[in-house]
Amino acid sequence: MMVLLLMSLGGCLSVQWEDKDGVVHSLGLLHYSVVDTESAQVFVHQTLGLDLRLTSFDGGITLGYRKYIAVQPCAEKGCVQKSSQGFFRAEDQVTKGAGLFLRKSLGTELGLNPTSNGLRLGLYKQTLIVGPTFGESNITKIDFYENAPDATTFIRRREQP
Amino acid sequence: MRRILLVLFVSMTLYGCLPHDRLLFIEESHLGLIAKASPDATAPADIDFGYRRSIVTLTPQKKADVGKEREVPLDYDYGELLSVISSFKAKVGWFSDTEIHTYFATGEAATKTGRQAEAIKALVAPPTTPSQ
Repeated sequence: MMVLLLMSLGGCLSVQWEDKDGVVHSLGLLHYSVVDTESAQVFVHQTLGLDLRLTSFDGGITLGYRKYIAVQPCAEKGCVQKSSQGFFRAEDQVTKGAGLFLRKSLGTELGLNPTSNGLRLGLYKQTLIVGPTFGESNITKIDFYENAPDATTFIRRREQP
Repeated sequence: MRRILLVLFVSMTLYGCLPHDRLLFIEESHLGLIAKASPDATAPADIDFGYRRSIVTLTPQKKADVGKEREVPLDYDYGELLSVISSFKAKVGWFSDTEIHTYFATGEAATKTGRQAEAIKALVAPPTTPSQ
């Protein structure tokens, strides 16, 4: 009943879920783009209307406009040096490891994930940087340009103790 | 309906159980109404109306991985935190394009970098790539 009500209010719907192979599928009214640079992969996902995300890293429900950007190193994402974009259907690997993540939303949102939880009405933006674990010794440099994703760099240099 | 609400409530309260095994830096801004359930049952819920900005850094702690099978050194510090030197520069507007430059050294690299002022300057130096 609640889902039907939200759908009718939103007018459009997109759903995101993870499969057992570690792939996140998105389906619905959405636009995505993937830009591979020499050192990073920039994944941009935008939705309008009701967005239902059944994923562990970015789970939640949004009614309104939402933009999600993930910048991760090629070493973890397996860049293929090929940019792509499209509508209605997107696939991405389950987010894990280090990265830079941006969330912007306008409308009503219920965050159901470890780094963005609670109920929000209005404008919201979040910058999340996920770094290394305790034992890792490295130097990380991330330069991200939303207006020029091709220039984005994600350099990580491991230092031997 | 009750089942859905229960799942939502449990998901919100599980926030407090997040294992912070990685270095996390969170910067967020909100304009409007925000309501959060507290992970601590004794603390009240958090409700804000208006503008709110918060910056949080969660630093991973040394795990107590020295088990019974191994002898624990006398100077073993269970509460030791990850050494970090970091820099965060961002242009994040509500409706404008975002530009972020973040650099950090962790662990032994942070310890080594921290000993030399020049190394710190080199770490946090702005990029040579123009933003346009």
